[in-house]
Amino acid sequence: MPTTLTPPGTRGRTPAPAPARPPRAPAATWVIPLILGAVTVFGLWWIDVRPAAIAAGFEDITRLLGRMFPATTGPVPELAALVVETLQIAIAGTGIAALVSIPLAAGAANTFTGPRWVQWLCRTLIVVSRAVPSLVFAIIFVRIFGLGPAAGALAIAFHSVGMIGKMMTDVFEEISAAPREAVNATGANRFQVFVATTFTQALPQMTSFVLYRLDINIRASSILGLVGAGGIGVALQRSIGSLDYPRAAGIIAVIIVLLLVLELISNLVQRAVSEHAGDTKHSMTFPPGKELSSPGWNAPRVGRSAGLLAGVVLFILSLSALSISPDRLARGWENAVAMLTGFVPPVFTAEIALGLFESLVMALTATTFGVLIGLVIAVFSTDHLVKVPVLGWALRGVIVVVRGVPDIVYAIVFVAALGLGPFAGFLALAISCTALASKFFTDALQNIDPGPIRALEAVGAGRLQAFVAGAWPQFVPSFIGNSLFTADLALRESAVLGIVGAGGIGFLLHESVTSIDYQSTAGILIGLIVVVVTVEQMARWARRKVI
Amino acid sequence: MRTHLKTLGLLAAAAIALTACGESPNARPADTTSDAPAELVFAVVPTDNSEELLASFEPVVAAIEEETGLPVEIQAVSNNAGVIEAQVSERVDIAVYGAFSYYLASDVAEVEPVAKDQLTPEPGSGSVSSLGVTAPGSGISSLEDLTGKDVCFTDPASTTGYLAAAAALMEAGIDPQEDLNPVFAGSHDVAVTQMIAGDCDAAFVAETFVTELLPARGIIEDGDTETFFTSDPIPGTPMVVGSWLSQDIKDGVVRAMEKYDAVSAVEAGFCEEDAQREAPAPWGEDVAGSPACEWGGTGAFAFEPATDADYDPIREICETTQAEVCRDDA
Repeated sequence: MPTTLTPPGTRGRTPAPAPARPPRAPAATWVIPLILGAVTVFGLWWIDVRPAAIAAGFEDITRLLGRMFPATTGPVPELAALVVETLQIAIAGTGIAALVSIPLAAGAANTFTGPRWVQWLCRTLIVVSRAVPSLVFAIIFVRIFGLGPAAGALAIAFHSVGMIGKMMTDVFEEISAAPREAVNATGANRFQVFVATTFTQALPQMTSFVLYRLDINIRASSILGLVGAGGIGVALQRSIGSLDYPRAAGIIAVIIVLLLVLELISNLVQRAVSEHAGDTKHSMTFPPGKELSSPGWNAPRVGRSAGLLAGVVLFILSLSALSISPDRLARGWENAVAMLTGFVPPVFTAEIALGLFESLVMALTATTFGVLIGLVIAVFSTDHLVKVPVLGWALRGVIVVVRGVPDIVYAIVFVAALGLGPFAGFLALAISCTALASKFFTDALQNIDPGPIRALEAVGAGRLQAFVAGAWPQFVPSFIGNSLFTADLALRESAVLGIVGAGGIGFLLHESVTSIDYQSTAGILIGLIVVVVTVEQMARWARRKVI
Repeated sequence: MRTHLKTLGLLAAAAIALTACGESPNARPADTTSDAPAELVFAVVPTDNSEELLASFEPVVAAIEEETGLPVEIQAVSNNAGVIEAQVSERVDIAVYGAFSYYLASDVAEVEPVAKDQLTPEPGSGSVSSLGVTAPGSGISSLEDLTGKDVCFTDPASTTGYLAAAAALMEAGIDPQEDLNPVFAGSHDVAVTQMIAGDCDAAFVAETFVTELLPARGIIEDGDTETFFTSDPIPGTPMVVGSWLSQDIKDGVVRAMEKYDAVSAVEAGFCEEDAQREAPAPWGEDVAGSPACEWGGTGAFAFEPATDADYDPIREICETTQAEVCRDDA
C-alpha cells in the first residue's frame, strides 16, 4: 500500500520543496463527513433526542432488567440441539457465501482485467444480494426447497454474498499492485496471478470477514423461523414474544459465549495468517524446503493447514445436514415462479418513499455516533497503538457482549424507558452501529503495517503523533469503506424501528410480506436497491480519491 | 465538481437552518405518564390479517380524539413485547393487539380491555377460529388421524396457528409434541402453501386465511384444501386501555367505540372520501353498499364492549396445553 507520512490537514502550511509537496487533500475526506454531519444534525432534530428522558426512565429500565433474572436456559439438551442446528445452518450458509464471493469479488474489483460486462455483472450481483433482505430470500426459497434448514441456509448464503463480496472487493482493490505486476510480467495467466498475489495478500482480511459474517449469521438466525427451521435465534424470538425474559437472557448468554469463541478463533486465525499481526517481525510464511522451488513445513504452516482442514470438514458436515431432495426441487421451481409472478408489477407508494427516508436518516445518524465511538474503542483495543494487551482483550470482550444482545432487546428496554417513538429506536440502532463499527475498525487496524508507527516512535514521536502520521493514512481507505458499510448494515437493521413504532422500511417490508402484498414487497426492494447502490457509489467515489 | 460541492454545502446549511427553527415532527409533550396526560399514545400491533394498519386506524383515532378531547398519537409497532413493556411503564395508553398478547399483558401490566372488534353488526362476530386443513385425498378426516403425521403449525405463540389446535388435540388424547411431528412454518400462508406442496400432511391456521385471504390473493384455489377441524371461537382483537388513565378518559374511549361504527363514522366525517369503501354484504341489508370508513386493521364493522372475562377462553387453552409460551408461573 502506498503510504504517505503526511498527516492530513497540513496542506499549505509546509513550505516544502516541490518533489516532496504533500498531495492536495482529496475532496472526499471532507465532503463525506460534511454530509454525514448535516444528516446527523437533521436526524437529531427529527428524532427529537431528549437525553433527560433517559434519566427519567432509568427506573423502568432497571425494573425490566430485573425481570430478566435469574436467567435460565431451559432444558440443556434441548438448548444444545438448538445450538448445533444454528451452527450447522450458519456455517453452511456462510461457507457457501464465501465460496461464491471469491470469484464475484475478483471480477468486481477495479483491478479486474477481463471483459467489462463480467465486471458489471459481478458488481450487480453483489449489490442486489446485499440490498435484498434475507427475509425475502427466505420466503422465496421456502417455496423452492420446502420447509427446513436448506431454505434457511440458502437464504443466509444469498444475502451474505453481498457483504462478503463487497468487503473482499474493497480489499482486493486496496492491496499493493507491485506483486501482481511482477507475477504478471512472468507471463502467468489471470488465474495464476490472482492466486499467487491478490488472494494470498488478502487472505487475512478475507478470513476475518467470513468469520464476522458467521458471527452475524448466528445472531440473525431468527429469520429461520420463517422457513420452518429452528435454531437459537427462533427460540430467542419466541421467548421475547411470550415475555419469557429469563429464558431470553439465558439464550443471549449462550449466544455471547458462541460469539466469544468465534472472536477468539478469528483472532487466532488472523495472527496465523496476517503479515502484521505479530508485533514487529516480518513473518516467514513458508520456511525453505529441500529444494528452492518447494516450500518446507514449519509449525505455523502445519497449524494453518490443520485449521483449513478443520474448517473444510466442519463446512462439509454442515452441508450434509441440509437434506435437499431432488424431486422436491423439481416441483419447487413451479411454486417459486407462481409466487414471483405475484411480485409484478411492483408498487411504489409515497409511504414506501417516506419509510426509506426515515430509515436512511436514522441509519446515517446512528452510524455517525457508532463510527465516532467505534473508532475510539478500536484504537484502544489495537495492540500496535496502545500497548496494553489486557485493555484490548477487555474491550473486544465488551464489544462481543454488546453485539450478542439482539437489537430487539435494546429496543424493548428503551421503549420501556422512553415510550414509543424514534428516540428509542435511534438508541438501539446507535448501540448496534457502535458494536459493528468497532469490530470492523479493530480488524482493519490490526492489519495495518506497524512499520511507520515503529519508525515514528523510534524518532521520539508521541502516541498521538504516531497514530496520526503512522497509522491513520493507512487506515483511511478502510475507515471510509467500513463507515459506509456500517451505514449500509444499519439501514438493513432498521427493522428495529418497527419494534418501537418509528416506522421505517423494515416495518413496511415485514407488513407487506405478512399480508402477502408482494407487489409492495417488490416496490420496497427496488427502493432498497436504489439506496444501497447510491451509498455504494459514494463509497467507491470516496475510496478512489484516497487510495 | 465545484457546483456539486456548493450544492452539498447549501444542503448542509439548509439542514441546520431547518433544525434551528421548527418543532420536530416527532416532538412529544414532556409528560405522558400522569393520569391527566396532554395526549394519548395509541399503539397498534399488526395481527395476522391486518393491512394498511395505520391508515385503517385513522378513523378510530379521530373518534377517540372527538370523545376524549385529547390529541391521540398513533404508532404501528411490529412487536407485541415492545408495546407490552411500554404499557408496563405506563407509556402506552391505548393498544390494539392480538388476544394472546392481551393474555400476556394482563399478567404484567395494569391494563383492561374496553372493546373488541366486531366484523359484522352481529355481536361476537369478531371471534376467530383455527382450522385444520389437509390436501384432498390425504385420508385425514379427524384429529385422531394425525398421529404420526407431519403437521404444519404457524408459531408456538399463535392462538389460531397452534394453541387452539394443541388444546383440541390434547383433549382428543394426542400430544402435539410427541404423537405427531410438529413443523412451525412461521406464518399462516407458508403453513398452507407448504402443506399443499407436500411438506406436511396437515396444517392448522387462522380461518380467514383459508376462506378469504389466500383465495383472494390467488395463492390457493377452491378444492386445494379440505377442512377437517374447526376450533371453538377465540375472542377477537381487543382494544386495551391503561388502568392508570382517569375514568373520564376511559369513558371517552368506550363512548367513542359505542357511538360510532364504520358506517356512521362516514357521517361524522372521520374519513376522507378516497379512504372510504363500500360496506360489504355481511353487514346486513340496512347498510350494505353504503360508504364506510376503514375501522381498524381487520376490516371490522365496529368495536363492541369487552371485559377481561371475554378472554377466559385463552386462559383455558393455556391451562389445557400448559404450553411454554403461556408462562403460568408469572
